[in-house]
Amino acid sequence: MGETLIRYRIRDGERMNKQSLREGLLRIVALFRRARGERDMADELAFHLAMKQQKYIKQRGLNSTDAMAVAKRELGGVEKWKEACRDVNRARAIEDLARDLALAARMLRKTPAFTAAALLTLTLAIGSNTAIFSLINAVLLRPLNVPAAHQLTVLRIQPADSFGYAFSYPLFKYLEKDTHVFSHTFGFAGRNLQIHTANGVERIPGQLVSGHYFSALQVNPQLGRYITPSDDRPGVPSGAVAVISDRFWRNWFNASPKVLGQAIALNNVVVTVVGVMPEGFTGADRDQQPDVFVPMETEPLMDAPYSNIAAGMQANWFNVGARLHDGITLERAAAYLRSSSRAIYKAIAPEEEFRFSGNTHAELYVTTEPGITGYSYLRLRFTKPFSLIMALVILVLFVACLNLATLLMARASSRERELATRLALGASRGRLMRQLLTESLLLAMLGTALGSATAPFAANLLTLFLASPDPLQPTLNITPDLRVFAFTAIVAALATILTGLAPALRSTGRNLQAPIREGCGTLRGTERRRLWPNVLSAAEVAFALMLITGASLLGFSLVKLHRIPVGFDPQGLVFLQFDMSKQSRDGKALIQIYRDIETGLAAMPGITSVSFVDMAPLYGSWWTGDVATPGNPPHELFRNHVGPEYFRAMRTPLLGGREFRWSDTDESGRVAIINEAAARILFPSANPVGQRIAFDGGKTLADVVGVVADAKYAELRDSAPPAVYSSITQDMKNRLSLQAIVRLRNGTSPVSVVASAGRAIRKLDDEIPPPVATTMEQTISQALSTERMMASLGLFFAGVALLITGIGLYGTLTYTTARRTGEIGIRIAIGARRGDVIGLVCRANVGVALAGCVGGLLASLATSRLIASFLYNTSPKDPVILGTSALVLICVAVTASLLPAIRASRIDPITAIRYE
Amino acid sequence: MGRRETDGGELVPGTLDMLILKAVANGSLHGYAIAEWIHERSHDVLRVDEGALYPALHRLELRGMLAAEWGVSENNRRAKYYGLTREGREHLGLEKERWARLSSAIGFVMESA
Repeated sequence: MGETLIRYRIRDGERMNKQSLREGLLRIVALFRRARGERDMADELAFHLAMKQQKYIKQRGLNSTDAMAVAKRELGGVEKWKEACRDVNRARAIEDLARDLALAARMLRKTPAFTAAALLTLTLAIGSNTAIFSLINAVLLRPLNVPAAHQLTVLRIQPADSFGYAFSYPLFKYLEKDTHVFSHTFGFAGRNLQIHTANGVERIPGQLVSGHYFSALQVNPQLGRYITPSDDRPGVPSGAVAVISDRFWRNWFNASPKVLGQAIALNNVVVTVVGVMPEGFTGADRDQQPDVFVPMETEPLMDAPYSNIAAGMQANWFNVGARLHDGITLERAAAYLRSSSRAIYKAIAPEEEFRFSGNTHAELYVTTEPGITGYSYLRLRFTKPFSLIMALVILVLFVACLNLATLLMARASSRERELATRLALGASRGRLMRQLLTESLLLAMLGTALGSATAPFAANLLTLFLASPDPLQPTLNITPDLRVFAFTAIVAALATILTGLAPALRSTGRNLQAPIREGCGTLRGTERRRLWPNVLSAAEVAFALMLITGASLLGFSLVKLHRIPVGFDPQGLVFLQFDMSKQSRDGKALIQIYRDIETGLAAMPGITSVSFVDMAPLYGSWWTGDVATPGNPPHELFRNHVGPEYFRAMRTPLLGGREFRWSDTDESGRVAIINEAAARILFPSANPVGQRIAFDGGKTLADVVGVVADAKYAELRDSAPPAVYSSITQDMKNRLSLQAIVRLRNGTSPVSVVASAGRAIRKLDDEIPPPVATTMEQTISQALSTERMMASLGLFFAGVALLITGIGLYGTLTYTTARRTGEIGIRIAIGARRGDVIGLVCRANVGVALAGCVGGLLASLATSRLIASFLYNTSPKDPVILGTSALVLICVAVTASLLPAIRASRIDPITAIRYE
Repeated sequence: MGRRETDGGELVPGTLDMLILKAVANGSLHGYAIAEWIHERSHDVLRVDEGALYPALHRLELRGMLAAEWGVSENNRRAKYYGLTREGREHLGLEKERWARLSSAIGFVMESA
């Protein structure tokens, strides 16, 4: 008996051929094609008219033209006739659809577990796709809310790294004058400004804007006027003006029209409000959404005591954009700028030794980039990560849809007998296929609806990953727009087509009557259609494996990043950022207040040590400068100002010499501490302690008093740079705003310490705004936020894919095994052991999983180049990671297959055969 | 000639389907032949409106009462032939009975004093 079955199997395998597939596809095409129906209708009409014509020629002796005319007249109009026939078809189609939908809904209700699993996977897949796309839309795609945004461009200096977007004032002034390709060129720089209120000092987001800013953006104020070039002239402290946002106007001025002409004090500068911008205006940088716009020329006042404008070519501090003249393309503008750049650089920086990012006059040029979205740091930063995540969620969509397709196909084959019966009773093949398609359509529609409904919540959750540490930065606007809806529609269509594959491919079976003749429990029906379900399942496994390997690589890379030794102990370290720029102390008096702050903080319970630093490590700002040993050429090393006992507070080992002290004053002689890396460069052979180094081209000399271990400074991913530290008690720049570093006793909550520190400082001087607190762990985590976002999303989606794949393999095997109950019963009856049965049932799935894994691994290797740039110290072809991922997937596949197999091995042969 | 010949030749409403089924009961016919058949068999009394005939044929086909097939007509043209399905035959039987009941009932009423 067993042998007979096997022989059948071989014969059926041969029968599976390409032709049946093509026929099936043709039939699907015919379903959607009305053309044939129309042609048939025309033929039928022509025949009818010809018969009548003949009759009239014979009976009434008319000529053929007249006979035809009479025939047509009797018909009462050809088009009317056709329309009446079409109506029949239409009415029928609607009736059918209603009936199909009702039947589909009934089928779905009858199998609640299947329906729930299908809807859950679709909801997850479509929801996450839509959510990620909403983010991509908000960050990368949404145009700036200004007229003709496509005419805007962002200027960039080349060749340069990410700083290419920062311009110096002299360069901008030259560009601003040139209206050859641009109607207006404008500059803007974000500033958090202090505004005095009855309750003390508050911070609001503001922007310094050049004279042509508003005329280039072409947005008119809702009240008053905007800033014009005549407002943006040097030396207008008394007449300084400001334009405010709609939000600021409502919150601070109660939307009163009397706001025009009112004076407000920003950073101790009095400005007059001259205009209110309309709601939704964000300026040229979508990420900022400033509340106040002030002329660029007020910068020296706003930034006092510094001045970026006065620093000239030395300060690259703001973004530049421009609006193209009508009819000028971006390429033409870029070519023009490139050709004129050299002359501009020669004019603004005549010194031959001028360098920007290490490039000379001859190498530097300005270029244009599309500015339809305005300048956006978020866009620059997230373009690549988002593309990767989008690719991951599309993989999830594939996995989910293929899973559904295989499940539907398995279920359809378990309904073979029902379908065959209906076919025999006269239902057309097209009707049956439509019925099956309606089911997947209904599922896809429900899934899309649920997915779209959950997407906004998911997107909101995701924005947490993008949240800026600056509380004044606006949250991302992710409200869906037309693009999001269009995308959802495309995803829904894709989901429908992919899930619809199931019934479509099913109909390729040549002979639906077979199951009735043969009974539904034999192998014949199953084996013939094994190929397609298996291909789809294997593809699902392959996509899932790609997701899992991608996510594991990102995860491993993140772990490696977290394990990087930073050279200090980040745990329990809190930074308090002070803003001293707007209070009146300077020099010694300022040092004294820092000392008072230290004393105050050190006395607080929960704090073990306190010191100060100018630029906190890994916080995003750093300082480099020339350092030399006497008589030698200078090296460009990293520099910083730190306070007494800084290294003890940081727990960076002091390798030799001593730390800075409060007693190190300008009078006691300049001192410096260098790290090991700097010592290797400056003093390769000697003990650095006691040696002398020179700063600022030899103008300042300092004694090296200590050597410390290396620590990370600018960038977590780079190796610890050579650094030279000066003391905050010496070489104090004007009103230096330092960060207090506070080491907390284990278990002390940073929140309580920060609150009491704020109170203590207000007691010292209420001119000083409360400090902004960040823990070192937050800073590191912020530095790794993109990687963490990618890894967590990747792992989440990999988990989803794993789950979906497991459910899919389990589900399909359950269906196919149920259909083989009779056969398995016979096998057991003739002596098959439980192990044999388990092996028999499992074999197919394990084969599918292995084939899928091979495919997935190959695909992962083929696409490894794409993910490599996201990884830190991790090879995208790492055999351990790839192997482990595949192993995990195979384990899930085997587990999912074992359950139905074990169930099958417990089949009671008597019952099984009787059932047959 | 401009007016349709409506000298009492209109069909009793609701009987067209039945007449069509009857027409094809003895073998497949194309639309024109069905109309002619009904006309002849009614002793030239009943005229089937062509504007209603074909929609009715299509409707019956979609409902599975008729099965259509393209064939070649007596004068060698491509024509669509309609034949009765099993379902159609059953339906015809029911309609016939109903009609017989109905027409005799009407006869009783009309002939009563």
